[in-house]
Amino acid sequence: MPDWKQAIRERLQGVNLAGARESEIVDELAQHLEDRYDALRSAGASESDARRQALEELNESQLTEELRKLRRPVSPEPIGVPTRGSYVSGFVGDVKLALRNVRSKPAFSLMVIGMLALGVAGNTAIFSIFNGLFLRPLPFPESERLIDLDETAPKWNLHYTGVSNPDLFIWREHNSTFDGMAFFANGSLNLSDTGTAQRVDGAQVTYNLLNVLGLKPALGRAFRPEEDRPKAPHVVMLGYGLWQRMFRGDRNVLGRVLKLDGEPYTVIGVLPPEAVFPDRADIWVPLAADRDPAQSTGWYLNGVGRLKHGVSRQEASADLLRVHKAMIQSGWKDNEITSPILTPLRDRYLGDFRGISHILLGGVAVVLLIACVNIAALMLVRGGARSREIAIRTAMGASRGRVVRQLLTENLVLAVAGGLLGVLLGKLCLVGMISLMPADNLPHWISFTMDARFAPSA
Amino acid sequence: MGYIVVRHMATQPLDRELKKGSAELLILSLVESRARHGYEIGKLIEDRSEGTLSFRVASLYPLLYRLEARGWIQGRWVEKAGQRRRRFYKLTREGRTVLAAQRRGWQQFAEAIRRITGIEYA
Repeated sequence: MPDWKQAIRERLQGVNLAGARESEIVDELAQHLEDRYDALRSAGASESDARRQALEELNESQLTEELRKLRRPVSPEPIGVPTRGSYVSGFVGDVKLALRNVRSKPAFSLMVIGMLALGVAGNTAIFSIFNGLFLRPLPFPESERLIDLDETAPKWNLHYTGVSNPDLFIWREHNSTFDGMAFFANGSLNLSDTGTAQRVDGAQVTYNLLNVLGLKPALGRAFRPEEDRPKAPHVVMLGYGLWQRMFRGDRNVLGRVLKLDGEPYTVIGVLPPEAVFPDRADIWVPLAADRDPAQSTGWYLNGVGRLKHGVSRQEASADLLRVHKAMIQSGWKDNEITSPILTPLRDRYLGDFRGISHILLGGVAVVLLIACVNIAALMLVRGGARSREIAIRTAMGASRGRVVRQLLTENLVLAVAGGLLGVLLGKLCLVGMISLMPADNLPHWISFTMDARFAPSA
Repeated sequence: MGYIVVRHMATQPLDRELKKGSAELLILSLVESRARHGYEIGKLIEDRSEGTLSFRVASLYPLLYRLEARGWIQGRWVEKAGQRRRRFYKLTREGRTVLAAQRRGWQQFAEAIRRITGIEYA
């Protein structure tokens, strides 16, 4: 009897099977060859012929190739596409097949893509607005430390009264929780230069506003404390937009004398593009507030403060209230009526939009959910209709995992098409919605463009 | 890689995937009623197809091992009195489900081919 095991072991060299596993396979194949040898002998073959024919079955490289593959975990093999090659080529094949299937059922595909696109479009548009209003940081360094400063007078039934001149000075000098406090008043002025005059929006600001906002001048310098006093020499900082429009970015604008409301003002600097606060102010001039109580002109100022690191708004509120009450004891009777009120800068200017934004966001989320449920129902109906196709694929050798992968790829193709169309529609919707917004109610520094935050929402 | 040698065919061998799929179906069908060893499975395929289909060692056993790794069949060494020690393969519960699905698929596939080509099967 031939030594089958030895012959088999020789052929299995290089396959590197585990010892016990190799021994099992050798036993089993030896058994087979022995059966084959016996059959050939029974059919009349000579010993040597029977041995040669039996061993010939082992001489195919297929055996070692297949056994090598068996050392790896069994993986589902693709159908309808090459079984060998990289995952990338497999995926490309899947996508091609998916596109063919999507095209073969145009009504179904268009319905799914359309529903998905509508859901995504609504979310895109509303989320872009919500993102611009409440998620995107303000265009100032460490903007979370910026706090709106104001006074409130419940006795007068006024939530915000504005800040008075005396409070400006005392708060600024006696607080212990702010790195800086700045105040401003909006207004408009007649600006004339070499004969031409125009009405521009401007702001009277305390000398340190740019510093409190964390910004540097684009050109020249910021105001100095001595320029922020009554009867100080008149100086002006030009807004970046005005500088570009009126002076075409001329760097020699510094030192030039402009007339504001007929008074000469010397240009000492240009604001950076980020200086979008106070809103719509094309030029800044010093506030030059008078600390003499007799010259006080009531509560007319807006304020902004930069909290010290690690200080909360509540702590700052308590600190300013302490300063405010101390003023009452010093004889500032008006302060019995008002008290400081501190609000996060964003909430002060956009807080009114928060409620409606949340409602709209919830609304479009529900629309997307309904779209998804409808799509799921359509998919189920289509899945039932495709059972025959799936059965044939399985019969042709496709594993369950392989069929699932193909179906997932088809859904991915539909989702990508619906998503892209939805984003395009959403951008169009966004343009339309922005054009309908009341421009005066929104600060200029809010923009509704898409950014990285959009991806998770879509 | 072919799992089956198809003899006496006037046309080119069937598509690789088709052959692979049918090889699995044949083996699963043969171990459905009772457990069989590898040589018996190969012999039955050759005999029942009257020589049209035949397995070689190099293709039969790797396929058996693959089906076993998938959990569709289960192999077990059996030693009976007066007989050689052999490894018998039986259909598992999962294999039975796969076999049913493959049978349905092949029926539908064959029917679809018949409708198109007009070939009648016995």
